[in-house]
Amino acid sequence: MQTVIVGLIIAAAAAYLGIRAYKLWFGTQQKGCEKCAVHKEQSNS
Amino acid sequence: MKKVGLFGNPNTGKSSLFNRLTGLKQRVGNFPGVTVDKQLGNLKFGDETVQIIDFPGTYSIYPRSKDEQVVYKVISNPSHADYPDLAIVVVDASNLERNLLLFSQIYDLGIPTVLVLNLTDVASKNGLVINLDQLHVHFPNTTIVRSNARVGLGMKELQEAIAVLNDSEKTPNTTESIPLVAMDDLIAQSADTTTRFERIKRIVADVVVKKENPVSQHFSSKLDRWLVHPILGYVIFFSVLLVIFQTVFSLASYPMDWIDMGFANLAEWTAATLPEGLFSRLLTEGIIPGIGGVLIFIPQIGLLFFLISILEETGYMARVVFIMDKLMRPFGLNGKSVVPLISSAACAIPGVMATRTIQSWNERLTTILVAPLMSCSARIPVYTLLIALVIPDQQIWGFLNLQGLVLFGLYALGLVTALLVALVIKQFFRKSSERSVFLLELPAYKAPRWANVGLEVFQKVKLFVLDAGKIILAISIILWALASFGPGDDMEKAAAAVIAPETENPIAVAAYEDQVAATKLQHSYMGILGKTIEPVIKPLGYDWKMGISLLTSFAAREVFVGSLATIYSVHQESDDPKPLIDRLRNEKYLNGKPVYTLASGVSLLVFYAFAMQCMATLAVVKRETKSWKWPLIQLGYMGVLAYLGAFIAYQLLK
Repeated sequence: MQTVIVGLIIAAAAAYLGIRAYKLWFGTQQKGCEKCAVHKEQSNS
Repeated sequence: MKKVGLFGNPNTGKSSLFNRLTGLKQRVGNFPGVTVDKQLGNLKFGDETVQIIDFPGTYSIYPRSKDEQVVYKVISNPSHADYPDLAIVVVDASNLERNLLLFSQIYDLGIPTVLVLNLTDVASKNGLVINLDQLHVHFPNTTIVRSNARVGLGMKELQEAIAVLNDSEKTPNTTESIPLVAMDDLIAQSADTTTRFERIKRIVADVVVKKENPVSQHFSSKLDRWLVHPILGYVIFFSVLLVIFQTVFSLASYPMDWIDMGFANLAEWTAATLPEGLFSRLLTEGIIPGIGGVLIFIPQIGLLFFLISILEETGYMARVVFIMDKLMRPFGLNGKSVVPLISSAACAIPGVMATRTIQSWNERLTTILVAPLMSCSARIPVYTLLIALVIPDQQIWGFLNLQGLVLFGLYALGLVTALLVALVIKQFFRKSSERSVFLLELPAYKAPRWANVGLEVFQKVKLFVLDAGKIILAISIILWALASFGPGDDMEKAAAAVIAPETENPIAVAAYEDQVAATKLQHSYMGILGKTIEPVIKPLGYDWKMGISLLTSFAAREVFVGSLATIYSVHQESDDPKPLIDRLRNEKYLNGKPVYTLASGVSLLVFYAFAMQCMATLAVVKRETKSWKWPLIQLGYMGVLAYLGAFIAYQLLK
């Protein structure tokens, strides 16, 4: 059971990093700085 | 939904007004150019909502730079999605003559307008009295509101003016619409501007009375005599920086030690409480050290931005921008590069975006390419950990803390390198005959608004904990997995080959356990990966564990510390919880020599000062330059600079 939970947590961490990287380079919404409002706005325009 | 556009010259308090109206927390600053793109927010009237659009500050409708084009593109096209139903034009009441140009241009377009006389407190201090009735005679189709957005004065009247728009179809502006001059017709624009200024001069002479009340002006002028002095200005600025870094180092170390020790104890308690197993190990060796590696830097980041935002709030940062302009010109950098570079000292992403104010493409590109060399807040965790590790905590000349001085030196190194690289780019690669003009109005000194200071600190800390923290946590989990498992049963076989001591001497047992842990780690997936890259980083004085942390921190610099925290927690059997810094101090090679020495530590500091380790910045550079070429060139040149710099530092100091 513990092995399954740990496996799921590791898979979730890897998936999170993958999605973040994909969104950063290929997505429209940019995050990661103090002006997130600017990025969100730009993705809408 | 009806749209209300917020327009005005730079640094007239539009963003403060926007925040007041919408309840949002957009960044404000007491220097021009804080807003470089339009921002959206909503204002509710019962069941109905009005959209408020905060446009970048501009002196005229006619654009000179990319950020100013945003206003022209919207206002010149009534079918544009953001074309406002009502224009709120915020003007600096203490400088009506310059500010009325933009207002008169928008007013003459026939858009319903509200004229907001902001900064009325500054105008009063300067002895200016504005006759509103007389001003209304000159602009009969506008609503005039006197405000002070800093303290919320005039917000009720402004909301009422917006409510009128919401109730009726249109606020009447019966002015006959005067069409805009074409964006590229500079001669017609110049003629239009000259005519307008002649009219505005007459209006100002009619409505503004200047009383003799020069106390505030004298105070600002007196201070400026020192703060923007050609020599003393720099001495004072660098002294202020030095004091900030000294304070950060001396005050933040206490809460940092508590947090570090707290997490070490939490990991120990968790290990003792939970039943032994994989999950317990993931928590105590991966997740808890990973989170601890993030939270430990809250005191330093909070303190640094507390002090910097006080400087911003008082108006001193505008003086810094002014004196830095002079410093940068000999290096071929544009005056308008100053704000992006100063912004990059907090985070390179808004810094790169702020280059939109630079008209010349070559100068803009140069600024984008050197901006990430300025020391950003993500470097603070790396710098402070390594400085505390390898630089002695001692006083020089009786009052300067050596560690604080080194931190100051690293910031100076970033600035000097940025200037030198800009000079090289200018001389050899991107010569430009265009010279952009940098106009800067020095705002009056103001007492800091503590709510704004608190908000700035809160947002910076929140950003660090939530944004960088999630990445650090995810990477810590992956690293823990890579360090905990290896191919087949290699780890167990290697551990079994370590000869156990024949006595029960605790020192011998502890040494045996340490060796088993080290052997397991070396035979894990992470150990294999680390050993593979070790030949490349060995000339810089790094071992494979530093190499792994270096690799993971290409996602973001601050990941370095979280990675080290995880790597040094895995397989640790010791009952005595130790803070990360103590574990690093005790780390030794097989020959007994310490891993973290002055040479390897300084080499790492130099590497982090120069290396382009921020995926988010690279992505923004790609978007701003609309090409993969420039982020790749940036990654390449900064990588070479980092490797060579670290190599030279290590070879000189070892």
